[in-house]
Amino acid sequence: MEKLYEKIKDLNIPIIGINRKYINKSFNQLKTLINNEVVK
Amino acid sequence: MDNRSKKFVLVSFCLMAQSYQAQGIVKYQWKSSIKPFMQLLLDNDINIIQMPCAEAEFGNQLVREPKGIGKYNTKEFNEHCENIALKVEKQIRQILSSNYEIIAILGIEQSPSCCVNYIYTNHGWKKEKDYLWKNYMKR
Repeated sequence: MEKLYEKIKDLNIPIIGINRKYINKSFNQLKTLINNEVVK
Repeated sequence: MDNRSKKFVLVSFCLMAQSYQAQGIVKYQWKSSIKPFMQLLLDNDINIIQMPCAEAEFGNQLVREPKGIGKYNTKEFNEHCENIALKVEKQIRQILSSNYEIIAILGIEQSPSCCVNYIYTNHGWKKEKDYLWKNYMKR
């Protein structure tokens, strides 16, 4: 993922890490991004 | 009328296919896809792109023991990851140049190749980079 990030960091695409045991944080991050997109 | 969604999310291969994880680490309730994420994406009509699994493709090791980054940190594996990263980069740039949107990229923590903040080292979890999400939020 770090190699990919180095190649695309100019694009400012958010990269979210999912912890399979505690998914709430990453799930909410994704939800926020999706809702922001919908508002746009 | 063309009814397609122009929104995309790229996901680590095993988010959609837990069986691509190393042996013994599919411990939680999701036996195949990690459903809450997949459902959220489906409900919002977001195109899902499954990125290649670097570990399973390396030496054709779909069934493999878990290994930390120390064991994977070889010239051959790094070259293999570099090639995958180049292909995914090309795909991302193609999507964006076609006026489609990429909402996010989803990685899996503790994975030697797909982690974002936490990596497995064979000696427990180590906090790795923390800048990916934070940098975005600072924009």
